[in-house]
Amino acid sequence: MTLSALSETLRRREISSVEATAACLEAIARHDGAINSFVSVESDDALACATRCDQDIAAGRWRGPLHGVPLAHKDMFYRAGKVSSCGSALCRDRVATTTATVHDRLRAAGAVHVGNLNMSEFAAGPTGHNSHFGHCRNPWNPAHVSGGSSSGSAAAVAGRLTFASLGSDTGGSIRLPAAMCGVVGLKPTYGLISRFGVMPRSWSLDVVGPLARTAEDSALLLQAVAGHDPKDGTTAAHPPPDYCAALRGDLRGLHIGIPTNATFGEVDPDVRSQLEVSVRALENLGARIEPVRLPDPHVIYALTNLVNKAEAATIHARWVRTRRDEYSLSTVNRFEAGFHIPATHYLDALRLRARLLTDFITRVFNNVDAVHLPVIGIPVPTIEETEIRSTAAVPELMERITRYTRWVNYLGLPALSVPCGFTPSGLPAAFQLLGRPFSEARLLRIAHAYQQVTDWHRREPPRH
Amino acid sequence: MTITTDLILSEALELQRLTLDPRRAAELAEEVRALVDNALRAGEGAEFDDEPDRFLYVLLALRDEPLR
Repeated sequence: MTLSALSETLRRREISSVEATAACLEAIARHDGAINSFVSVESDDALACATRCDQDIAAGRWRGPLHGVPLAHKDMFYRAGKVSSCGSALCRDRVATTTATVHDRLRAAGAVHVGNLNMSEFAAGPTGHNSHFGHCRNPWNPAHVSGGSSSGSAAAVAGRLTFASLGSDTGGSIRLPAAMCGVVGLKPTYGLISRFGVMPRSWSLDVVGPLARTAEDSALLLQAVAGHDPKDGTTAAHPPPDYCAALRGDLRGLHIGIPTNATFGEVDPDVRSQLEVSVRALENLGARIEPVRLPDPHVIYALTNLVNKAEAATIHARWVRTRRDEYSLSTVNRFEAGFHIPATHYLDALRLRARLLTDFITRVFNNVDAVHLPVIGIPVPTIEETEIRSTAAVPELMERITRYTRWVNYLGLPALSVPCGFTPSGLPAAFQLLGRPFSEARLLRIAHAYQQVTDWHRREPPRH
Repeated sequence: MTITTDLILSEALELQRLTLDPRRAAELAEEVRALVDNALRAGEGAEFDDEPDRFLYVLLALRDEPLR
């Protein structure tokens, strides 16, 4: 059952929030051992909240589509008085003093918080490895990575342990696990969703976004959390549109660009075949498919790295100096070069963003409405083959996995990962839709239309 | 002039109060060299009046039109 379907049955009181929440908790207890998507489950609080939801709904005080719906989120969204581990040993007992705005908005919407989801330590890793809480595993095959850093979010949604989840994306951390687990994952425009009360990875690149089984479910969760927050000065002032109403529209007249840059052709044949079939499906839905040459993503990728490393090094400097041995090997190594980047280079990278974004939009989105590209160019790897055993191996591995996602964060553009099939190994494949700033409604409409004529989102992984 | 292991070691210690082992410093020297080269190359495209905060304005100014 999707989130939207559950929402309707809750509204009609055909099922209670307590029943839905209890079913989630039972599924977690029974099946999460194989995928390790949860780091903590709050059964008593969740059922108490569900009871209150049922009372409110029965009294006619229905708050909207998320009222009574059990959800779980990446363990980096603070709640005052509660621990957010951030996937780390350092924060295992660190109690938050503030509550993230997204949590406030979900509570106001009546959602039930079931528990906290596994993630790469400090959101620093695209595979889902975690030496402190155990690796998150792919529900389709637990020997394979779930993707990261929103590893638990994607695995739990795919594994039918939660109806949807909020994750974060600094270089692909929503899109990559969504693609690898076969769910929809939205990296929204920078500034659409508040980052107040959210663990920082890189202030200039971080965004919060939904992972869900369908575009419609993503729209429901997005609607509840998007919009200006006075506590986050980077959030846009203009109100978000009605994402759910915008889903229902066809694709006739829409121009979808396929990049011609050589780097986008360096995709494994098993992944490429699924991407090509998805393009034909969009064409059959009425979209016009056109070649488009993107500005060199390697240049943007390099600047993204610079910003990411400088900011992450700053965020972690105090702990690196005093408690370095409490980090896992790869986490510090990923941003350590940031300690050696001169401020002038960091500031150049920031002040070039407006110029490069303007150039990108002029050269791309003046010609097409969205761009269709890979999320990850290789089949989902195994946990074993992506284990970091040496510091020298880190940069090459990160580049290979984040090649098609990381540079998007520098531009602040929205990008949506949509499942589009399976490789011969039985692991999911996905395409990515890139759009203009604040074009989430358009991207979700395309994905929703695609999901009306395909059934990848209805496939369920086997139980292990 | 190049970014050497010794430079990384002394920067880490003197500028950041961090201690590195020489093997890791050598890896970082290579990584930092690439980052700095990319930064210098990209920086040639920056203009006098470019500033970081303009990015947020551009995101809003070039945003998508409402869907019908």
